[in-house]
Amino acid sequence: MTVISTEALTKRYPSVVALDALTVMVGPGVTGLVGANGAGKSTLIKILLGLLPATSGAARVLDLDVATAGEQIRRRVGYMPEHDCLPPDVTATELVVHLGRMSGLPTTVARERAADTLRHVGLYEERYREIGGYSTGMRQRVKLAQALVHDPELVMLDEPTNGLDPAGRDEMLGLISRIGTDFGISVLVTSHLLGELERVSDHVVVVDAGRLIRSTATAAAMSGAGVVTVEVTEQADALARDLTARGWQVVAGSRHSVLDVLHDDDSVLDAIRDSAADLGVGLLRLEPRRHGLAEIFADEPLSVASGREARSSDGGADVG
Amino acid sequence: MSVNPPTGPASQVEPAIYDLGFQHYQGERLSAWYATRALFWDTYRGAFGFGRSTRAKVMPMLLVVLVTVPAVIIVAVAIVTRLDELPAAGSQYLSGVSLLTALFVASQAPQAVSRDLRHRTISLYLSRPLGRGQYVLARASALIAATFTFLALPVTVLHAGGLLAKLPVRDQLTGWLGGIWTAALYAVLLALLALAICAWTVRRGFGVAAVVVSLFLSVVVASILANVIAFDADSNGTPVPTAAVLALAFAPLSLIDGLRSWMIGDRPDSALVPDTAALGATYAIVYAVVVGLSVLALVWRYRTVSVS
Repeated sequence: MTVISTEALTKRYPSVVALDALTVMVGPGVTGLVGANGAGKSTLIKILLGLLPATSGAARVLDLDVATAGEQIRRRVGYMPEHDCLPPDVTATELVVHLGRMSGLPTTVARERAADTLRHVGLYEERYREIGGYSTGMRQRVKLAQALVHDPELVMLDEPTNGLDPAGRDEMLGLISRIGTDFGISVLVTSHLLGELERVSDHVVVVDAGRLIRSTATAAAMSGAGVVTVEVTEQADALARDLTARGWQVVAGSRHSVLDVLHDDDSVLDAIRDSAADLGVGLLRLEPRRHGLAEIFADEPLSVASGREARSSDGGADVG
Repeated sequence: MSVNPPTGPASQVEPAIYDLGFQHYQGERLSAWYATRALFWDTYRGAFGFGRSTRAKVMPMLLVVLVTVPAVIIVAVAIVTRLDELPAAGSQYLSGVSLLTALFVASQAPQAVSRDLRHRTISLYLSRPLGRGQYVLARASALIAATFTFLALPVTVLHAGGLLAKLPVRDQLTGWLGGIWTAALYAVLLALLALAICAWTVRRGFGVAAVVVSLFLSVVVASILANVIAFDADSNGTPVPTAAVLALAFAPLSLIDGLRSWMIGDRPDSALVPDTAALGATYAIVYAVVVGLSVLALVWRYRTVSVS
């Protein structure tokens, strides 16, 4: 099943091309849409909601044509804007009930679902207070709740982690992950940070200057080959040589005492243990990691890990 | 051998929140017109402060009391002193309270439109089935209806009181109908004008000020102009010139006053009201033009509003 599909979708403004013949397919689950500011993410969402006509090309959401079925799409889709959009003088409950009715829920249903949804995003007694007194994290939760109140089949979240501190960011990403898995609602989530989306997305689409750079299933890309970071008390070089002799590919880590070992199955852990025991060095750290998406998007299998953000260029991506 | 398990986001979330699970909704989803009606009623109730904070209730409630109390007093006087007709019919009563009407639309129009634009809540409406046109229709018709209710209330009190004072039923009925018609004239023009002004002045305070100033200032300027022309004519011993009456057509409050006086044919409050078919028609045309321009300004504003 395809949730979103675009076919040579183009949006041209007088001075800029926001989307340049973008063809992409998005399936169910959590999909990350990554790109720098101005890469065309918000334009794409507006077109997908049927609120902005495309210059050329076509797009379908939940198998509905965005050009002709905007109203039906908006009935079945939730949208969380990037910018602040909450009136300060109503309570979260009042706002979410009101917006639930605006999505076509009968009033009694809207009341029940507003209370449920606010609880699911982590707002309890606060929901009876006026939004004007909320923290950024609470506001983001209200914005998320109004996108979910009518039980959409798909939610589009525009930069939901914007303005949040690291803890708030983790909580928001956790919620997004739950929307995809526990709630069973497909998610299209945008960010300019690749690193945070790789944690929650089943699939990542990278756009730059309105063009598709990569569209990759993270699960498929991340299964199989992996990397283990090893930190030892001393003789890191000797350990590297020994592991290389045992047939493993070793890359120098971020510090002298740290090594990254590439592997394709868990027997590498035994090899590292044996090697360290033979050399008599102390193992300080043994950390299996998934590939960073930056590494997936790099054309090289793995270069010295120096950055985890992909910087896109024409047709491909380099590790920054 | 122990390795750090990858810390997934799920492990950091309070499990208690999700124990009941997310409930899906299989029931009916109503049309965009249902949402339009819901928005209409929320705006209508909100104009009187219902469903809003206590602070927001003060102004509309105070104005409702102020606009109704004189009607109650008139009725009481009529009953006690056994008058054979009310000192003011509904339509004339509304001319007398037009400043309160102006305050009502000026204070409530920002709530209906500026608020969503200022806080960008409009995005949350437009990303729903409701169209831009339906949004504007719901907001505008609700403020018109609320203003009409605001004015119909004292008119009804007045003429129901007239019946209570055992005044002729026929007089009370025609007086009431004239008052209701006048209430509609006030409601449509003032509400739309205030909405158009507020849709372009995003800050609440500015919107209130802009509406009050434009309504009051225009009527003051037009009255001075008309009186200067009339005084001139008076001292020359000629009848009130058309120019003086025309000058009053360019202030919304005196325009409505003149138009209802001409349409209902009730006792004019001043000599400066349209007394010929040509002048009456001119007033009607100016009224229609102001309403049309206000609607255009509103629609134009919402055509250009962006979702994100």
